[in-house]
Amino acid sequence: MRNTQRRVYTKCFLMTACALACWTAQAAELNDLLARIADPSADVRAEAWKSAGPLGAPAIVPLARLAETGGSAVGGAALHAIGVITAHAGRPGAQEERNAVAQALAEAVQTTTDEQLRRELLHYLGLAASDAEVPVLAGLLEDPAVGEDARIALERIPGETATRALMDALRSSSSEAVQLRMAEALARRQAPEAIPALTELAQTSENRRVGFACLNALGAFGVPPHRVFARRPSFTPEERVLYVQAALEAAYRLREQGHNDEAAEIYQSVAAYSNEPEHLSESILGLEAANSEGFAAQALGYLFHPGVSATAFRALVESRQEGLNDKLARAWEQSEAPRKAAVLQILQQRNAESVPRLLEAARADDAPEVRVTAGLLADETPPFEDVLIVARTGSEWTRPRALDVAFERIAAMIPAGKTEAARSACLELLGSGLSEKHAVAAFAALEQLPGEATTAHLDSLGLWQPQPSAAPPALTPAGLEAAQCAYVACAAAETNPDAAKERLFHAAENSSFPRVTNLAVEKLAALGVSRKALAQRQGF
Amino acid sequence: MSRKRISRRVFLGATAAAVAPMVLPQGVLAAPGRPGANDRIVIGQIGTGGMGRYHLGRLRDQIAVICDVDNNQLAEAMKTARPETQTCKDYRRILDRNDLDAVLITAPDHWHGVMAVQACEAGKDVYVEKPSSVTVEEGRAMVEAARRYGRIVQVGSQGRSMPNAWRICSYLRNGELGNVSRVECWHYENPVGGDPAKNGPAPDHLDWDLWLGPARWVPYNPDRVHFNFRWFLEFGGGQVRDRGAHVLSLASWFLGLDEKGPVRVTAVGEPPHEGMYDCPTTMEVTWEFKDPDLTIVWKQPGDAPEGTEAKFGAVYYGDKGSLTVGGGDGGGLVSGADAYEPPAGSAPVYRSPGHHEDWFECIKSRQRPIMDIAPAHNVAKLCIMANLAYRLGRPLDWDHASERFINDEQANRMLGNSGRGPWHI
Repeated sequence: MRNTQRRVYTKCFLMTACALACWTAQAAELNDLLARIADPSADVRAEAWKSAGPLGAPAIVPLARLAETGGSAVGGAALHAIGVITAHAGRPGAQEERNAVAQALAEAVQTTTDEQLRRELLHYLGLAASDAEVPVLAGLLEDPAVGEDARIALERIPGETATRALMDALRSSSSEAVQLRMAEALARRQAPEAIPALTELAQTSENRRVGFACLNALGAFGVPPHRVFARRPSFTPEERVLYVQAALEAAYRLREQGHNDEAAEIYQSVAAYSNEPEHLSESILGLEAANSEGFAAQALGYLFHPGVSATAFRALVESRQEGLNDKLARAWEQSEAPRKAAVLQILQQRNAESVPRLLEAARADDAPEVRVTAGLLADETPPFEDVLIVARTGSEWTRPRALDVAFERIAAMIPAGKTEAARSACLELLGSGLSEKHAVAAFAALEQLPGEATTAHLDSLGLWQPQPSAAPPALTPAGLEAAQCAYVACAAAETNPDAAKERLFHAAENSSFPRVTNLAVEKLAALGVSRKALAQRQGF
Repeated sequence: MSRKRISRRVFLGATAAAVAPMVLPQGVLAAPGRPGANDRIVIGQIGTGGMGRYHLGRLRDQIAVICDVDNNQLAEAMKTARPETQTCKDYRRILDRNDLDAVLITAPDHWHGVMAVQACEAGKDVYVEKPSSVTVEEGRAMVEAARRYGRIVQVGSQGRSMPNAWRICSYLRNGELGNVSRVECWHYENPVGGDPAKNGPAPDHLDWDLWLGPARWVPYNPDRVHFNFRWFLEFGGGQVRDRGAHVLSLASWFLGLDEKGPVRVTAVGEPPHEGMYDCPTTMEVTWEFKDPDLTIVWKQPGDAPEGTEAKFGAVYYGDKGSLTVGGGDGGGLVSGADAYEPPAGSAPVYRSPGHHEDWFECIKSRQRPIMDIAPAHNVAKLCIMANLAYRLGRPLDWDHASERFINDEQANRMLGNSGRGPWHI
């Protein structure tokens, strides 16, 4: 008995001695680390913090003290050491070590007063914390200095405990900002247990911003707003947009969850309710992704809607929906000219079987827009008169290409001696309003087509006014330069040499484009006006 | 794959404004209030620092409004912009406008994700500077946003649009090197610097809170802002994330890795011993791929092959030989394949007309650009993973399909950042 007792005592003594020795060794290691972290040499400090990992939790609080009091160089090294310890403890299979580090970090956060240091510690805590640290983080959510850092750290912790803390803060906080952040955090977290709390607040919060944040968060769970409100409340215009956004959010989520029909219903409602291009575009893409029967009709309906048309066109081209080619072919037959022309292009880009048949029919169509589209798609040469009509009056899907073709043909007409027809076409097109690219093409053609009509048109544009772009039709710099070049060409072609010189002088003196000035000087020289005379006229 | 939820942006002003026509519709030469003709893409630019002014100089006629949180930067940028270009401090003013077709994001990296996602939500097409994101989750959200809202998103790894890149790509894809099993990248070191003693109040011309945006709050320091952000792991991520987004972008394109990922990443490096910057001065990263069986190594500094003047680049090793590709960021690209003409009948490789031009053409055609956000995200992930492996001091095993690290919860916690205040995705 006595022997046994002695053995137990001896064992206890040895264990205590070992623990003490270990502790003493650890304490010595820690003291050594702290001393090296506080060393005046940057190299010594760096070697110290780089190797701090194995010291683990016991080093955290002393290092935090040093970070707080050590000045920027030593404090920075101490903080680096905390980072290295946190990373080391986070290695796979070291859960206990990580828990201890998290506990120490939580203690350091609570006992540190320096705001920035607390933020840094919270950052590391977020990388190590588990359920045990949730109360500390939750308690800091309303802290004006570090609340956001605590929220971010809390969001990094997986599991119900952290979710509950976020929900509690959503319900109980008196700060709008905190409530908004909690609603967003819960949406990101995708924890379904948050749905009742979010629903309750969406329905009852007196703060509309918080209410809508909850509505949006619910959307992220696939809960559409019409399921939250039995009756739709009255909205301000901004709230109306938020409502639609929440609906789109829900539709997106429902689609991801495989509830395509429900998603499609929301997209259809949104298209009927909102006029915002981004909402309409998303609805069209959503209907396509949800493989909705209504996709084709919706997309066709928006082919000419500003801000949506390009998305609708591309969605129709790229969709792999079954039977879409047949639907488009039927739509072609029932459409008016601009849509017919657009659908023909879509079908061609889809390599639809019906294209040859439709091209044949389109060539005989009453509308020039359809005939020209068919001709161009078949690499034919549509009559110039038809091209001109489409170039003036076509839709966004036909006009740019028709303008390209028109100016190619005009450029070919000039050397062929068809100058009157070319000029008349240019002036007609300019009168219909042109993009910069086509305006430059028109003026470049007019430069080769001087004459009274050209001069009169150019004079009407106010090319020499200080701000010619102020009144529509406005001129971009490239368009203005091209127009002034045409003006110089017209001036040089004046039959009265004095009038020609006067106009050329005017251009040389008033243009801000070197190309125009040089051209005018060149033409003046051809009329016998020397550079010296020009300089004298300018007062040199 | 777990998905990052894309949040809806909060509008600054009323959004029910009349909808103005955007790209393509007919109109007058240039409608009042719009700087260019209507066959031009009208752009709002966010961020007017070094890269911002580079783009502004090239696209000035199309940029209607520029935005910066630093009034001094704005004033400097206005020397390049057209006089009638409008200015603003809050980028949400740009997103709220209905008269802009597209947004050019040249703000610091930590803003790319939030701004790009919100721009997509707002119906704008996007050009965003590289690296596309600072976290894996925000990169994924950018891809989702582009697809969900049907937007064109081009990322500024313009090396892919250089004529030589097309030749090199054709050369490698036509098997001129045989099976490529190793790529060694070389680059010079990250700098040491930054003085923490300069922490203090931000100058009046800078809105520091808005500069930080989604990043966690740190005190203002002049050594942190503008180009200096590059040398902080949480902001710019150093050379491996900066130039890596160019050099690795090319490797990814050349070798058909745009939809593939490594199985393991290992990174070691020497941290700066003093100053504020925390990117490792020297660094060696290894990405191991299994499909194809390939290793990519980033050495910083690394040895440029003899006779190569480029300060960075990559050597491609195949079973038929090797190819050195110097440069890659758009400033120059030289290789032994510069004169290569693909043989008739070889697999076609898309030839970009120029990085901006490719973006514009895709905005009109609605096709995906050469550095679409999906491959850009895939490239950015390599750079981000490298820094995470360095920071955690251990190799990381990666599951490409789920975009998660295997058996490393702490590393997975670092894949995202929920963002400070309202700046989140």
